[in-house]
Amino acid sequence: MADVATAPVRRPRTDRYVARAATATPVLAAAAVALWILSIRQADFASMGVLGLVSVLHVSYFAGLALVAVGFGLELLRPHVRTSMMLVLTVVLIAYLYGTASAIEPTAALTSSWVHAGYVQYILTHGHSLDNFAAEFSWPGGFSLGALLVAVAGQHDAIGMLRWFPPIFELLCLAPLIAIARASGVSKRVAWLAIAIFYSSNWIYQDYYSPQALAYVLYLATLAGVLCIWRPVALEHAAPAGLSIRARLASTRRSVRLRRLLGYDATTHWPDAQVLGVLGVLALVGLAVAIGHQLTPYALVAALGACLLTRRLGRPELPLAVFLFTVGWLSLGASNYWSGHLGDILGSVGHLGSLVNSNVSSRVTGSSSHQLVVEARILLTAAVLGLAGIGALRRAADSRTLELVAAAPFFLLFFQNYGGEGLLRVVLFSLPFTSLLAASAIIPARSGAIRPLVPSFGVGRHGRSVLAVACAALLVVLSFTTTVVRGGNDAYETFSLGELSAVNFAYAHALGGQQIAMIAAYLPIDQRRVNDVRLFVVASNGTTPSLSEMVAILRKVKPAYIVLSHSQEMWGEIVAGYPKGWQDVVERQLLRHGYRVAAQYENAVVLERVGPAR
Amino acid sequence: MTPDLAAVFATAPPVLITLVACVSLLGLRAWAAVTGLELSHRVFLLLDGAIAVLFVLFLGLVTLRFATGG
Repeated sequence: MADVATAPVRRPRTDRYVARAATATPVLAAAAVALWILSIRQADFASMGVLGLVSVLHVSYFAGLALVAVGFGLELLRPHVRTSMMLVLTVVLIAYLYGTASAIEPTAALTSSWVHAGYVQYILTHGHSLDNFAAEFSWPGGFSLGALLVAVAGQHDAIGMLRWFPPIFELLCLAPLIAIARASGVSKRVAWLAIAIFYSSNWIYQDYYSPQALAYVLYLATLAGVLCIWRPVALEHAAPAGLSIRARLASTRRSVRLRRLLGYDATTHWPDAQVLGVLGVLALVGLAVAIGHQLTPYALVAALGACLLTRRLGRPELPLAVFLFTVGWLSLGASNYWSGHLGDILGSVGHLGSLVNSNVSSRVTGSSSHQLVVEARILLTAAVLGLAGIGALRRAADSRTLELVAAAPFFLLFFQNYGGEGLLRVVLFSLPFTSLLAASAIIPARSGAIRPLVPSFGVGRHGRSVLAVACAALLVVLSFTTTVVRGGNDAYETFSLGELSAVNFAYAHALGGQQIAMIAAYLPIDQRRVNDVRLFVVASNGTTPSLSEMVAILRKVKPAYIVLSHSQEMWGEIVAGYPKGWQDVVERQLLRHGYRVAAQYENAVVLERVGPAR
Repeated sequence: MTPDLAAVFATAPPVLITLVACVSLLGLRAWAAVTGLELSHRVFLLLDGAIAVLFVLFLGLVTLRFATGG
């Protein structure tokens, strides 16, 4: 015994790796935070080029982001993944990908976020929404909540909320994402890898101050609630491994019966009162989503239907109730939206060719830099979807919920192209589930009644290390690409303080009913005096008139004020293909034809009509 | 159906009433099922039948509303 007790103990090599990883990850996270702060201090917003945000980022940004990815890889190497460490790494990742723009840019990006602040302001002032003004106002739930929050916070408007909204919104999504990942039936390791993939590949800029952002959090929370409550009842006749895909599909068809649609194939161990209470809350959340946004409630109905079909929802009343709320609000509350032009709204139903054109092909235009960014977005999306497809083939599971919920939102494209943004939104609705499937492509589950569709293969005795390196490499590629493509429009979608001052000047001096004009809608407009001062955009609905046409249109419309700015100049160069300095040509023409310079700011000029104006 | 009658059915109250009735019955069904309330098969069939009729009626009224106002 004494010999055994005094003999030198040599720990296995893997254990030593783990011990090192345990100390290395917090150090990596701390170093990444330091590098992020350094990169923020180094960035010069004024020198932003045609590639957008990436053109002002210091190399320390990418070094820090790589450290976060390596941290994830090291943490995934451990036999027991530490929740606290994963949480810290995820928050740092969110700060990098979603907080950098907010920290660098002097004011909130995206015209839409300013427009939404204006709608909130209108409700705050008038106590109701505005009829026949904009489609969004027919779903005023999010704006009303915004007005309530502004009032409770003792503010005068929502502008203070705009700039840091994206990172805060992404942090809000983290709680339901963790719940979905942990309740989806995958291991803790896969769950955290999926969350990292979600944040590393979410380039779709829908986290600005908007009702769809609120509706998205509620969408995630509803699905998290459903997945946490119900578990699938074991299959009576699970298809054995080795069957052909056709035989497996036939087996699946046999198992989908009426009892499944009535919710009897899902079970729960939650107490009755608790299930009933949560069901009531989820129905209310469904009502809130139905009156808050046009598209999200349909995605929610589709996702809940997918949960029901795959034995993860025990009460069919929930998707039915959300569907009734959604169609009911469209019919009653949003009648301003469809009344008189239902044909235009339903015109794209079933036109899949025009859908692909408006969602993909028509976006690959503009300068070579813009085309590069758009193509990288398409590639990134295709890569994540492709990885998810591999995950669906490789993983064993108790139900195919992830596959069906990931696919369900795509059915919406058959009905609406949503102004050419349908595909973006659908990919976003699908992303939490495609991320889980993509993570399963790297670390597939081996147990479950439903066997993998392809045979598994080993990665040798260094398997865990290989997987850790693969995870880190994947996260580096995804997060670097997302940095480039997410901020790819920032050259014209972000605004300097001078541009904001120019817009504020025009609002301060325009009389009620007068028009403020701009060439393209890339300014912080509509944030005040909604429906009092009118706006006129020369290049609206994707049109790109020639410079002489622009001047002719403005001379005909005779707006009281015209705001020209750097962001519009960049839009013209990058998207519309106008020559460098095109705005100076327009300005000179306007100065010769009834306009004078009323105010000059850094990056912006306000022209005022001399004589009668509209 | 005459145009006048269609216009009456296409107003908001019929749509709202069928919506509220259908959601109420769905709530009742969920409550009965979750709490294990002992209802006979016949009562469950009646409940499901009423929900189905109201649901179809709701869709019909909404379609009528779209057809007359859209």
